[in-house]
Amino acid sequence: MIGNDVIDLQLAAIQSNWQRPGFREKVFTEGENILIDGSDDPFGTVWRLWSMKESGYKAYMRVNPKRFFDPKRMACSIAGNGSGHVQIGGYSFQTETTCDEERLYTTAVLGKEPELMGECFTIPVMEDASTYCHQRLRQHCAEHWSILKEQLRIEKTDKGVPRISCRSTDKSRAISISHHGRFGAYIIQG
Amino acid sequence: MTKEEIIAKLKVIVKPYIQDEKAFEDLTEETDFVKDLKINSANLVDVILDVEDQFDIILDNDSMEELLSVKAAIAVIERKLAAKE
Repeated sequence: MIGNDVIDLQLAAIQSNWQRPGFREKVFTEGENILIDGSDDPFGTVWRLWSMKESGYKAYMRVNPKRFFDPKRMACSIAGNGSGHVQIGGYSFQTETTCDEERLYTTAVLGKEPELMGECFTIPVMEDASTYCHQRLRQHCAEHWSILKEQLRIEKTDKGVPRISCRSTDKSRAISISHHGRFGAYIIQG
Repeated sequence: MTKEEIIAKLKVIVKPYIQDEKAFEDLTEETDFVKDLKINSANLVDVILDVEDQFDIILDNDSMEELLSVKAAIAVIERKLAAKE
């Protein structure tokens, strides 16, 4: 059970006004609002929590693939450094967040995932974000499995969760892809 | 308020947040805010806050939960408007 989410902080600052009246009440739990108010960097904390919720939601969709929109149902706690937890529907997902001034990136897993692979990268200006992420992901898997990338296809299962599969062998792995603004990322279940 | 009036108001609300112009032009009850209009999830919060303002209703977290499509939005708005009368 894996999920990931990348946020282009510059774009987030333009696209969303987290200080809009009502926004925080809809999105954050009481505990999360305390974290934001106590933070030296409320903007960074807001988006860190958001990417935790989003990656946790994506991972949860693999357990219970019924879509919903209620960011408050993903309750986050921050453990220190980049680690944290997201609780949803009785599950506790472990998250790791990395960030710099430009972007924030979180991965979420349920329990111990063997050899999680992946990367977070800048998308070249002229490239289509989704196509570029798929290319990078297929390249990575092709090298890892020593097969041609033409053999690999990325598709969603009937439950809407993405996988990468090889046409000629039975290799198939759960994946999670995210892109926002200038940045893209993917993870592959080991 | 008729369904058509609700849809017309919804179109004005979602317009600033859509990232797929074609899907917006072809908007029907079946249109999905995320899959079709490509509204990012943080902006869905804005859509919800705008719906509250424009229709003068309150959407608690339970009622916003299913608000992922035009159809679901109409159902919630109709229910909330009926409860006001």
